[in-house]
Amino acid sequence: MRTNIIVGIEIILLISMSFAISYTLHAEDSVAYDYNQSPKDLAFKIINHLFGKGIVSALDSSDLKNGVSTCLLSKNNKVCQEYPSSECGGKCTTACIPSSKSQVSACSVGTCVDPVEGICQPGSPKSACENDGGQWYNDPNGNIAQCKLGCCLLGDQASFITSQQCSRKSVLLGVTSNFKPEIGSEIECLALAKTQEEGACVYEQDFQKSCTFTTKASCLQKTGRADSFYPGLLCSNPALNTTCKKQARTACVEGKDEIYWFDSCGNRENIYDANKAQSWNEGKVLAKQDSCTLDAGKNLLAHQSSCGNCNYFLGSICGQKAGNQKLSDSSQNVVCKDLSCTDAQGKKRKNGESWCAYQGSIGVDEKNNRATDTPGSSHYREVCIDGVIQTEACADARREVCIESQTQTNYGKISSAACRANLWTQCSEYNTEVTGEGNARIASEKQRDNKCSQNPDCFVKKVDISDNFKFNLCAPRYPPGFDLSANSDSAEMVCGLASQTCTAIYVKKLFSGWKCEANCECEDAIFTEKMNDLCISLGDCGAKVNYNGQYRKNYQAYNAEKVPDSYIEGLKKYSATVTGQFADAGSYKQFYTSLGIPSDLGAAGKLKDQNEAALKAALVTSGSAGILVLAAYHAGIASSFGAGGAAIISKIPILSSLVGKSAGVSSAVADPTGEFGVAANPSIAAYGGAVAGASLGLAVTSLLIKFTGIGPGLDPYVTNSLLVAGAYSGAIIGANIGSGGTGIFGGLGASGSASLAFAWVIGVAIVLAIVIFKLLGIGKTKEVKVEFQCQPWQAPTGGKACKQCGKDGFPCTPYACHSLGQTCEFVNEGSGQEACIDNNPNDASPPVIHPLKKVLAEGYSYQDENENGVKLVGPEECIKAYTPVTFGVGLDEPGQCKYDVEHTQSYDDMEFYVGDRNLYIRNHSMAFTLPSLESLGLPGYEPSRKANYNMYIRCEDTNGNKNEKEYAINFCVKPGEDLTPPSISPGDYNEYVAYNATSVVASIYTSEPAECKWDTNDKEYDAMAYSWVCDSGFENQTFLGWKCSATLPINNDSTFSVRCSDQPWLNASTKRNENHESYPLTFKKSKIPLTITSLTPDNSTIIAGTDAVSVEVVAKVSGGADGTAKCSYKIDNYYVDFLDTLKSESRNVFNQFTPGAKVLAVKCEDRAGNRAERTARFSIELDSAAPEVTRVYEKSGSLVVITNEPARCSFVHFLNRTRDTCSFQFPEGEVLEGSDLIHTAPLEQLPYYIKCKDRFENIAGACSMIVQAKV
Amino acid sequence: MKRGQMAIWIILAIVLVGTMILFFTVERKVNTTQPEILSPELQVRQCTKEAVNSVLAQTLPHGGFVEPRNTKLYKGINISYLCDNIGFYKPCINQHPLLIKEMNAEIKEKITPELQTCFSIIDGDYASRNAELETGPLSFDVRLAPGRVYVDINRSMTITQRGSSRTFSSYQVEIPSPAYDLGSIASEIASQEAKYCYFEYVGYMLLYPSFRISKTALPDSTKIYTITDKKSGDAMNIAIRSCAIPQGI
Repeated sequence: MRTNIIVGIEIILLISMSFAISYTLHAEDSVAYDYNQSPKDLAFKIINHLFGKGIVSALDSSDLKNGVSTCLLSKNNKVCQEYPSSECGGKCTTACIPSSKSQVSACSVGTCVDPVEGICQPGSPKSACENDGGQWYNDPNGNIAQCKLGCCLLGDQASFITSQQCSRKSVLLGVTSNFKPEIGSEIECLALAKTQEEGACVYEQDFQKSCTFTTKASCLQKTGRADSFYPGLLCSNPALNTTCKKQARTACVEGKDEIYWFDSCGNRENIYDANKAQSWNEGKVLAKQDSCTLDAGKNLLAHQSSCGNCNYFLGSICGQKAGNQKLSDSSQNVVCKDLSCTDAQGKKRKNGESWCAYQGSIGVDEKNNRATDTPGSSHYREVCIDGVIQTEACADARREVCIESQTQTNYGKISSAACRANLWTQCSEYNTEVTGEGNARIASEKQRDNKCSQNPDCFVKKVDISDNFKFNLCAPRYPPGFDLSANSDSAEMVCGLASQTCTAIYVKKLFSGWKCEANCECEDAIFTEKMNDLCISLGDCGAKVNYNGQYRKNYQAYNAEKVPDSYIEGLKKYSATVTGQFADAGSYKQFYTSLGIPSDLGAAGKLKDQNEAALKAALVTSGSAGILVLAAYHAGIASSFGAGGAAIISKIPILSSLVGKSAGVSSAVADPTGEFGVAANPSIAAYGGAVAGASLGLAVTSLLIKFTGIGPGLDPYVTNSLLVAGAYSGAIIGANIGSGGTGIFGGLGASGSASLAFAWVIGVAIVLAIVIFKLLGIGKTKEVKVEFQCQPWQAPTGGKACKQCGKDGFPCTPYACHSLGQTCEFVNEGSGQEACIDNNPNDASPPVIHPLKKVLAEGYSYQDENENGVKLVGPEECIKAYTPVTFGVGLDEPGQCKYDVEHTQSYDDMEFYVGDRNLYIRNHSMAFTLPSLESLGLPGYEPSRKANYNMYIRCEDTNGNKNEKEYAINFCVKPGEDLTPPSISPGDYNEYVAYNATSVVASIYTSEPAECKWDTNDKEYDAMAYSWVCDSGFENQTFLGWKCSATLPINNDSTFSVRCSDQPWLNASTKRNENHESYPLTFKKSKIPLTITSLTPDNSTIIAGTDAVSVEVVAKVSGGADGTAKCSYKIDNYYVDFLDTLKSESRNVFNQFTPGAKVLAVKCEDRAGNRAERTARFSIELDSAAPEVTRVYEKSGSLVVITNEPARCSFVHFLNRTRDTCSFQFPEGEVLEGSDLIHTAPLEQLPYYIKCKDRFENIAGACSMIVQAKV
Repeated sequence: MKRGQMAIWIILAIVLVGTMILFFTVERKVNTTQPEILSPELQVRQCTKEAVNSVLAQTLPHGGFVEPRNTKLYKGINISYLCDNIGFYKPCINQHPLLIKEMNAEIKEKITPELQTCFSIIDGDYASRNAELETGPLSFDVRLAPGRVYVDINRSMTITQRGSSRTFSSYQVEIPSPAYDLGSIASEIASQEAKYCYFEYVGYMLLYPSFRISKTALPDSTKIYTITDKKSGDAMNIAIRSCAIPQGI
């Protein structure tokens, strides 16, 4: 028996095990695969050198003629973009259109209106809009009737949107809408929602009286009965006899800031107050401004424990209690939460407050009159929002600057900040406007200085070293940063503005020897200091520290003393932030004026209330309204809007409901500036971004035309098109060399200084100047050229500091990373795992130098090449005198290279950079010209002995590894006679002469030192009557050669013959070479004066329906040089160029005109200097009033309606009483016949609820007329 | 006795092996518990909601599209350019002037396969219960609305089971989602950037505190805006390149 039992148990176990094992096997089998989720793709592409690629590219030479082409849809799916013509085909999915986008109909930029959603989109291309079913209007700014905004009330929510948007939302939500077009600002609209009358909506439910606390409109919709709504009463009011019991609990309400009581039915009651009876208010609604006060004096949360009247604008909102933040009634779980923040300096910041943060010193050191922003640093804006600080980076490399204003309020100082475009190019461009000679030049300089001072981003940099070496320059207050890897040419161009030469004059005294008589201070350290101060004020140039405090000297000074250590220490302190320092926002009026956009144009017809105009201008854009509102509330309003502003704001009574009684609407704070206008609101300046962009583009165009000489030879419109396509860099410089453009930038107004020389691509090095410096010393007077070369700032060698990027609390950017070391590389861009790493930490080898063959001209070659050097030979072995020679070296890695003509011990001992460039690049080249040795005038000189020369080169790589041994380039000068006469080139020659001109100051350039003459007839050189004044000293060579100037008489079209004779030191020797053919210099004098034949609008009134009006001003010219001109309009005391000019018709669109009388002074100037002026007077009237019905009568069975202006009217007869009868939308009604003043419809059943709208879509929120039966 | 024992063990062995074979060969359901077949309305709502939420989870981070074509890579996400200009100094060109309409169309396109699958499953469920089915073609419309997405589905389905018939023809599904509001804000940002090259997002947040907006400027002058609905946590990213300023000249 026992055995049987055991066997039975074993059998049961075995059978059970079979199921168990089977299940286990099954479970393992099914575990696997969750097919609903796919694995994340974790492979990130490491993008090298993303920055800079694909945006700026070199051009084909044909682009300079053909400009840009437009692509309707690019291969990367960009709509309506411009590309340089040579690139467009490869980037476009369709055939490119050979013109700029503004000329292509499909890409015309206008406003797209979604007919269903009612959303307006300015800046929309026609094709993209219409292809998707949108309605396109030819106004790019949205200033059309369809985009007019009004207040849409949907239940207890408000939105400041278009009428169609309101209708659409109403349909989507199934809620009756109430559109109020008369509400003109977002603030008013939002405030309106908060002031809608609420009350108890009582109705029967399950044979009991139930209640819902809501608005009248909602109650009507719910119950269908107007008498079920009890305005101003709570549902718990005993008089209503409902089932709802008062003050059952507290809670937050979505969309509201405060803590509310709720009754037992779940209806909202009044704002929480520890004094319950006070809060309940006998069962009546208690307005916010009559409820308890949360703040006391400067303490915004003084009564946090007892009052639930939170205010988001003042930094509190209903939320869950936490820590010390709680109500004194412990049974309540909510409290008015503090939304303030504490910044990095420990300062308390209020909700919505924004302020600037910087990575070092910014702006101008007034004591030393120099700019202080450091390489690698950018500006940041920090914002306190909901108790958290958000950091927003302005565009790096100081392409944007952070500006801030501080407003004194009852609650302390409130900061408001914004990032806006840095107008630095305007500063440089102002310098090009200095023209003329003598007094005219002085006046021109003074005007430049005034303009410079008025621009908030510029300052007048004064250089005053000696009596004959002083000048002013307009420099950027926040100098820009550069990206040397993408665009080193522009860096060299900008920095080169501070490369100057000062000539100290020595006179040999009889007993005392050589004594300095003029510009002696230039040889002192003060010269180097002052010039470096100028250099660092232009951009990332010169000797300065980066934001991490690393110092690097990036200038060359010849024959000048070194700067003392104390000077360098003074520079080093700029890497430290200065507590409390910020870029002042200034007056927005000043900012816009510098861009040519005034808040009010002209002097005629001043507005009655200038503050109102400023307020209207400020409130046009909804986005900025928030900041304004905040500033207004905290400031007691007045100081934000100027004196008297309180009076303006108080006309908007519902605003007070937003803040309650504590806002102090009536507390006027005097505007410290004493002038009208919305002072110091940074976001308003930031809203000038589009205008700033256009102005910057124009300034850069002007600069490039001046720098490269491309403009005079090219349609300026093409230049501008190329510029805005962003593709100008390398090819323009290359083309310039080919076309022989000037490349010279003058007009610094320096007394006694030579013309500016600046680093160029190939790099002209005056080799023999070095020889002269070393050998001169004879004669009765001598000049010592003290030269300062300002170079782009280079990061320190190596990459030890790469890991510091981002450690200062600001995000690491490529600009910051590259400033920390030459081998620092920014990787993983766009992946979210960006880092700054040392890309070559183990490199210990200096660069290997080899000769650069590709820069050699035909017939030249290198011989005897070995690791120690090479010999450069010409077609006849030795190089002939006056032959321009180009040579260079190549490296196996990027590096800097220096040279000297004498042996030196190390790289650091060498003085001169190859090609005058301090860039870390692989290929270094330079060009030079050797004169004949006789020109040195050295007695006893043996030409054959001095024929051979060596030039010694060393290089340093990015890790600081330097060549120990010199690399020698050997060449020789073939002594011999100069048999070639000088060649003549026109330089910056303008063939057009003004109508009333009687003479012209002309310049020519010769290829060697020469003397030149001119005459009106073609004659031999000696027979010519008149001479040019030539800078024939060998050291006066410029990039174009040696300059000669003369004043030529002009009657009509004139042609002058010019001939030159070289080697002026030979005096009357027959060895001199003269031109046998004359160089013709032709001038075309304008036959008729330049006139502005038409200027529109003028003597007219523009009636518009929108607050901000777009007005296009067109100036037509004729006569002058060629019937085209550059036109500009006057703002305050200076002129701003039309955005579309340099044609026979100049155009400028003003898209933010406010109503009023306008006076616009315009002047035009053509290429010959002919000028014309004209003033336009016009006015803008705003028709924002809906048409009114003046008369209604019956005639022959028809209803006749008369309006006071041309209008269209529609009507409804009778509506379901569940909605407000006049809340119907215009399209919902039947349209009356007639579109002028008289409108008719068949007279059927009364009543008629009529609405009328004018051509500007002005329509009354309520009915224009209700026609009822006579009682 | 021994033969008897042997026989018992052999029988047991046969039973054991047979059980194991049966266990693996008999079709078994994935879920251990067989859910009840929901009524078509509930099932349609459920799968529509899942489909829409799934698509929204893909579109919103990318700027309103599942696979946007003109994009900027940021934190590993390809974000659509709503307003773009590859050049410098000039305002951007609106690339999606009818964004809400495009978002509607995108959602509709992407949920179509899901809805078709959903109805196939429903049909199959009924078929498996021996019900007779008569169905019509599927058509539907998607509308983004403030705070929700509406999907209006039309598909007639007549189910006959045990002698009685029921007909279902249309379903209106309402899915809570801030997509419309996020899209509207995105459109507003694009609009102001096209007009002013600037959007005051802080001021906007103060006026509309239920949304959080952040702005990130990238080195190539692209701005990434992230708009977050605080209540749901849903976020939409958009890219803008307007009035770009180059470094240097």
